[in-house]
Amino acid sequence: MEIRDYPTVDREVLKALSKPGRVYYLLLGLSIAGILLGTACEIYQFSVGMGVTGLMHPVMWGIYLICFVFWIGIAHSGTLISAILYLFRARWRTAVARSAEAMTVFALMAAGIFPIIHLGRVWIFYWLIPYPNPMNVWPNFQSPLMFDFVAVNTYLTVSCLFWFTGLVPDLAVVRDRTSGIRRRIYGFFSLGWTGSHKQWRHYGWSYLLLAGLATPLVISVHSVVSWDFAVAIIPGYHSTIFAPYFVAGAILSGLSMVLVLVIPIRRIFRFEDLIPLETLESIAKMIIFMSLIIGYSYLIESFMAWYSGNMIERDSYLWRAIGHYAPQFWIMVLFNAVFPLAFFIKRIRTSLAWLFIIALLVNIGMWYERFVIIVGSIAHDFDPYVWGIYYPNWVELGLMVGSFSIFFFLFLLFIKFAPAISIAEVKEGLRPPMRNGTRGEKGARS
Amino acid sequence: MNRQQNHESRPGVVGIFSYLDDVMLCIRLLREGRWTIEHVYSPTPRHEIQAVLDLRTSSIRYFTFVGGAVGALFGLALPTYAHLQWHLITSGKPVLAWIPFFVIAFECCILFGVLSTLLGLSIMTRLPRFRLSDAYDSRFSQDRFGILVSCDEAEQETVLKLLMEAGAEEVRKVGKVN
Repeated sequence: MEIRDYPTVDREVLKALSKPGRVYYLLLGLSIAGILLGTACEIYQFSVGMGVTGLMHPVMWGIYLICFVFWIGIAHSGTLISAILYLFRARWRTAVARSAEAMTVFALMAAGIFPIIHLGRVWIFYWLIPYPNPMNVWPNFQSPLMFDFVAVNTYLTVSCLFWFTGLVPDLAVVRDRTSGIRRRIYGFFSLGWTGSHKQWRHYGWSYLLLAGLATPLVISVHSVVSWDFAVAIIPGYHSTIFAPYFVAGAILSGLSMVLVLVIPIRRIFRFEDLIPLETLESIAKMIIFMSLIIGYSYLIESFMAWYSGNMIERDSYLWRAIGHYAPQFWIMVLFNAVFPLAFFIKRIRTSLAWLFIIALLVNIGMWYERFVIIVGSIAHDFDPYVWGIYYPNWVELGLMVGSFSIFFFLFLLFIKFAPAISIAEVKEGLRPPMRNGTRGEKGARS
Repeated sequence: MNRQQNHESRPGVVGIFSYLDDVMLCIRLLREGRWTIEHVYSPTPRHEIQAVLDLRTSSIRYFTFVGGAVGALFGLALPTYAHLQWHLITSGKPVLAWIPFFVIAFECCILFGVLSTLLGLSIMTRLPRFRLSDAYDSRFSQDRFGILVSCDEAEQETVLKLLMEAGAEEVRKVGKVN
C-alpha cells in the first residue's frame, strides 16, 4: 500500500502503539533479565570491590572503557541522521531519524554507566562535578577526562532535548487520537501543541538551529573521547589521527546499529511503506563511505608505525597484528574495513538479510576495534617487565550484558509509547491535499 | 474597536478546511479585508502558508546567539576560577593553561546555545500550555487545516460567511481566541 495521504500516515505510524504481540513481550522479558543480571554484578562489585573484575596491572582499562567508547560511538549516528543529514536536506532520513535519535539517547545512557562503574567508589562520582566545596578542591580542567565529562553530559542533554523537540508535534497527534488517561499523559508531554503557523515557524527555526549546534557537537564529542587516549604517551594511544579516526568509526558503528534496529522494526510493525528499501540502501551507501575511511585509518596507523622509525611504536603495532590479540585485530580489520565493502554490490545492499548480517558484523567489529586499541596498547607498552594479558571475567561480561539490555529495554519502551517515525516530517514530504489536484493555488471557488 | 488590539480577549471565528489551496485563498481574502488572522493551523509545516502570510524570519536565532556567547564565556570563566582556587602546577603546565579551557568553552557554548534556543521557542510559542484553546480542533493534527480570525461579536457573521465562501467545510464561533 502506498502512503499517499495524511490519515494513512497517522494510521500506519500509530498502529505500533497498539497492544503488542508475544514477540515484543519476549524481547522485553529478555531485556529485563539482562538488566537484573547487570544489576546483580554491579551490586557484587560494589560490595566486594574492583578486585572482582579481571582488571589487573598493566591492563586497568578493560571492558568498562571499551563499552563506554562503543556506546558513545553508537550514539553518533542519531545526530548524524537527524542533524547533519537534515542540514544537507537528505529527505530519505525522515523514515529512520526518530529511531536513530532515540538510539542516541539510550546509547548515551548506557555509555554513562561505565565511567561511574569503573570509578570503583561510585558513591563519590559527584567529585567530577565542579562545585564550590569547603576543601576548595576543583576538578582539573586540563585533563581530557574532564573534557569527556563535560562533552558527554552536554551531548546527552542536547540529544534528549533535540529528540523531545522533534517528538512534540507527534505527541500532539497521539493526544488527539486517544482518550482518557492516555490522552492526559500525551497531552501533558505534547505541551499544548496546536500546529499553528506561529508554532511551526518558530519550531522550524529552532530545529534548524539545534541541528546546526548538534553538528559540531557530535564531532567534538568523539574527538574528546579519542583524546582520553591520544594525549597519553602509551604506544598505540599517542596518535594525532585519533580524532577523525574515532569519529568515522563512531558513525560507522552507529549507522550499522540503525540497520540492526530498524530492519526488525520494519518487519514486526509492517513499516515497509514508511521505511522503503531505498532508505536502508542509502544507509548502506553511507556505511561504505565510512568503512573506506576506517580502512584508510587502519592503513595510516600501520604506515605511521613503520615510517615513524619508532621501535616501540612499530613493535606495539606488530604485536597487535600477530601477537596474543591477533584474532581480535583481524576481526576488526575484516568486519569494519572489508565486509562492508560488499555493499558496493547492489544485490547485497538491497537484501534485508545481508544488510542485517553485515551491519551486525560491523557492530561486532567496532566493539573489537575498541578492544584492540584500549587493551592491546596498555597490555604491551614500553617496558617488557610490565607486559600482561587481560581476560574479562563474568562480572564484567555481566555488566556488559546489562548495558545492552538497558539499551534494548529503553528502545522497546520507546517504540511502544512514542511514534517511531516522525509523522509531521512524513506528512511534509507528501503532496498536500488540494481541491484542484495540483500544487498550485486554485482560483476563486465557484 | 481597533482590530489590532486585545486580540486574545476578543471573540473570533474558526474555519476548518480540507484543502490547502482553499486555505491560501482564504488567507488572501482575509488580508485584503484587513481581518486579523490569529492562527492558521496545519498538520505539518507548509511553506505556502508561511509565504502567503508574509512572515518575517523567527527571532529565535538571537536567543541562540546570546546563549552561545554566554556559554562560551562561562566555559572559560569556570575553569579559570577553579584553577585559580586550586593554585597548583599540574603536569608541568601553567595554572592557567588556556588551550584546554577552550574545549570546555566550546562544549558550554553549544549547551547554553541549545538551552537558550529552547527557552526562546518556549517564549515565542507560549509553550507549554496545558489547556488547549477553544478554537482548536483535534482534526488539525491529522488532515485538516484551520484559520482562526479574531473579530467583534457584531462582525462574526461577516467573517463566518467569508470563510464559508472561501471553501471552509465547517465554521464555528469562539468566545475567546487565545
